[in-house]
Amino acid sequence: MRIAITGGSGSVGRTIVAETMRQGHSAINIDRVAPPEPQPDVPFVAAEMSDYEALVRAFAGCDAVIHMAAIPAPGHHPDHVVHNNNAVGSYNALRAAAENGIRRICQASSVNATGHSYSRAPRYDYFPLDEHHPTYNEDPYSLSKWICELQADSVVRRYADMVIASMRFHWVVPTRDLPAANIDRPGAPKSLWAYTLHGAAARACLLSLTAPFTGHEVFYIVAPETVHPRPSLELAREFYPLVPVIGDLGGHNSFFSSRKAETMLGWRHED
Amino acid sequence: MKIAVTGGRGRIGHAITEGALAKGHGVINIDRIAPGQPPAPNRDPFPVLSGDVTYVTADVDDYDALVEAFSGCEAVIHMAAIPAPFHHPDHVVHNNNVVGSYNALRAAVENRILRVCQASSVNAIGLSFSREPHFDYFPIDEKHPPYNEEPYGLSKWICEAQADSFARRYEDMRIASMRFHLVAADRDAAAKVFHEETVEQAKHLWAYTRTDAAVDACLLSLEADFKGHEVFYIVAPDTTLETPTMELAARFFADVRVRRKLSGNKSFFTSAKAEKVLGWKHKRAKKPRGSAPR
Repeated sequence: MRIAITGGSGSVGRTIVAETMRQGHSAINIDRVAPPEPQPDVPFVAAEMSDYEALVRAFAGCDAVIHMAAIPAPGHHPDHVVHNNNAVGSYNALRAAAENGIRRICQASSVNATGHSYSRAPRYDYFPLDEHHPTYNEDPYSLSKWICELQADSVVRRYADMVIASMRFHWVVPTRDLPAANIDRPGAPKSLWAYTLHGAAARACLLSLTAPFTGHEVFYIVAPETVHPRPSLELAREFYPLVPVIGDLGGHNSFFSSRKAETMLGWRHED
Repeated sequence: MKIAVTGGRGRIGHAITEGALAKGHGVINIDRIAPGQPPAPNRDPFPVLSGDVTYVTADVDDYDALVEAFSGCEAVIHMAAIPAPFHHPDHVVHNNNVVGSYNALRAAVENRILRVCQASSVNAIGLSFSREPHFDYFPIDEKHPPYNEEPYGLSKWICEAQADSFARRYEDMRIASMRFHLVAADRDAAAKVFHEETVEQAKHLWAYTRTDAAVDACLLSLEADFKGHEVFYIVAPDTTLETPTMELAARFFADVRVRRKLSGNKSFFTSAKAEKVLGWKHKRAKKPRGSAPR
């Protein structure tokens, strides 16, 4: 497959570009900035996601799009810049794919789509979290990720042969070390001590381009266990005593269930 | 109170400005079209109003300009938007509208404005601009799921998601999203648009919203007693046709469940929530029935 990867110079995007090449596909990296390291045999197209026509041109001849470009957190730019950049970028990517007749799309959503790390006090209705959990987002980044999923819902209703996977990644890191070093930071309980490894995120994206499903599907793509040394049920009781546990939080099981991705994409977090 | 009205030189925005002034409010009328200029090619311009009204020319994609324009206001009525798909490329319609609604909400926050009313649309759930209608039940109320499939309807569904998010973050904010249908001067004018009993017109459900009723609803929503963000259908209680609604339902929507009998030419939409929460009423047309031109 020839795959257009937006945000291919970013930390997750670079891993996806590398995994795409490793699997024998060809890749195009579309980003505002050039990759910090050379990406052999990967054409680089400098473009802003707000430039719809540039995306239409860049996607030409591709079989699939992986849209990762976004401002990855609130707080570093004014709220309206974060929201507008991301909501416009995801719509443009989806619509430019449709314009090119591209049927397979994977986009970066986030565990924050339902309100999580960037909420003042996140609201969880139950653990482990799954794709049916309602949204309580309250910041521009998380809202933009919820919106990219609404956009995908709408686009697949119009273009019935398009297949879109929205990936709810957690903190995407090269190894467990960074999240593990952060478990006692203030605010750490909001993160539910979760993470997603780079390689696991990249493999999920590629699997989502060929997996047998139709329409738009949202997937949690999160490591199956926390980075916390204490058992998850103990953490749940201490930090979220009022949240019902409706699934298996035994051992160090994650507060997120990625079972849907395991079932539908044939994905495992561990390689 | 002082009310900022975006899209103030458009049809509804102009009427809201007039209505607000008549009720003794002050208005900052904001639009990208200069005052006294036609809102669209081949349209007549609305007169420049006098009284406690200030005209500001700004595009809603200019966040800083909105922050400045809203300064000193106690409420915002955000009407500015591209009002339909297909006249611009899809991405222009979607991006313009979702950026405009986010900017309006965030600029209200920046000015500590707690009351906001915004134009959503009956199209938020997918309707007039869908290839085929998709209704789960009649009468349609605010709990009906969305099936929008084009950039305009999507942008209106998104403005509601934005309002949900703002109301969670800023707990003192009250946001009303108004789902208007075709806004027309009166039923006769609406009946000129929707008078055919055809599959194509069935998509629109032969509904309409009178301009004065839309204005009333917006102004009421700034003072009504509710919390957070609420969505309201603001639609006339009757259709533009004389044919009984149940007959139309049977003919065009045989598969759609009718949850409550729609007597006479009652609308396919229920605005009961707006009547209850806002104390609003789409008053019956003064003219006798049957006067709609054919």
